Amino acid sequence: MNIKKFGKELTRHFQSGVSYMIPLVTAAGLLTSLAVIFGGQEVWDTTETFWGVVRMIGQTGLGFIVPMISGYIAYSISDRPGLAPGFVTGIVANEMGAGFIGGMVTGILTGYLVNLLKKMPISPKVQTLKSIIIIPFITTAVVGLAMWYVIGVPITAMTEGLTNWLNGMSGANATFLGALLGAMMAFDMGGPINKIAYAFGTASFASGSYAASTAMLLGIGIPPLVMFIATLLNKNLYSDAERDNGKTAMIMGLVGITEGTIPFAVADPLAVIPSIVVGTAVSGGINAFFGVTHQTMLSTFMAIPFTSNAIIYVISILIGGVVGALMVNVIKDLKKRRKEETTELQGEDNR
Amino acid sequence: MTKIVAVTACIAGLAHTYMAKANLEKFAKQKNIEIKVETQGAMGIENKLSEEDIKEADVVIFSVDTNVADRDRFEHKKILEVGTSEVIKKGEEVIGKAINMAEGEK
Repeated sequence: MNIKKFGKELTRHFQSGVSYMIPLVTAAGLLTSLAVIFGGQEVWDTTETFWGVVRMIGQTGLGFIVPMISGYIAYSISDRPGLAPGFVTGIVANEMGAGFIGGMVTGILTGYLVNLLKKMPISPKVQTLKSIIIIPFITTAVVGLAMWYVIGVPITAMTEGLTNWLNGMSGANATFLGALLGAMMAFDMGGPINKIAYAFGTASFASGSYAASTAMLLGIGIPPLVMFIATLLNKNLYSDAERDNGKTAMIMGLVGITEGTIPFAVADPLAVIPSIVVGTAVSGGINAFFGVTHQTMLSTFMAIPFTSNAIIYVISILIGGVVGALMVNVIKDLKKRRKEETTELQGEDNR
Repeated sequence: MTKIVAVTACIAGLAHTYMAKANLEKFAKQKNIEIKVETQGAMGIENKLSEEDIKEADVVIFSVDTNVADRDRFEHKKILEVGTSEVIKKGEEVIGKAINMAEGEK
């Protein structure tokens, strides 16, 4: 199999895993967030209080992110027989502290090993043995052991390094990360690149690196804000339907859905996509530069009350929104003028 | 008459899945072609294709960014596999391609 095709296939399996993971993250993330919001910082190490229990439920869910990713990547590759071994090896990856990347690796290894074993020639008499005992047993043992003794070791070291780096980051590095995550979130508005940033931010949240999770979550609402402001600033560049859509997108953006921006991007990708990417990167960069974070899984606007510095946070949002809006309108305006010029020229030719 | 069945699925299962479905239906209607689209979104499988639907279809379109659930239902069918964004941007082309594939068999 050629490498490009293989890469494409892997991406699809990875995306399937993330797709199953999303409801888990929203459920567990929101519970954890609510607990911190209402219970304060003391909820982290207690189950004596109500909010402590809510926190515990949420955090238990967050702890399942890595096994879930592993299990469903394996499921996507090798169907049903991959699921259970994928979960178990994912829990091993989690126990080792190999994090998100560890879970991806165990999922992929499990999936392909199961596929390999499926092809193993075996007498039809023991066919049932194969699916019920041999495949799950061998896969779990081999991948689990390989993970613990060999593959997991560097991954754990890498994950720890990454976490420390994220936690210790400030100034230019933080700005760059904030801008990069913002740009990725905006680039395809809920598509694969957005989801890579989303997965990264979520994993960072689960390991307590709030700078990355804040930057990622901040990026969710900026693209709709950009288009909303843009439709307000210059009505002539947009059809009635588009202006209506700007409002709808904004409302969706308020509750944390980026996808409302897609119709704009489909209609005019060259003007819209670069502008929302720049706008979101600007917001993420400014906010990260000042080190504003929040310890919730709430998106852009809903997180405002829980940020460490709400004023700077809101200013970052607005600057990004306005920069993106101006950019998209300038590009649209230029395109419109060029179009008018060419039609005028054609008109003269006809005379 | 050409008959198409399709499956759409995106990562979050909120927007692209349903936009792809809408576009497939729109362009199939334009070309007067019968189409049934199953969505595998955040709510799981909706508008599920029956065995009969699949059997009668001349060609299957997978408009997916993830894996297709219960893929073995489509064994031995002609399958056109594309991403959801391709269908959303160039729906007409995709339907055209599917028709060509279906007619190739005759």
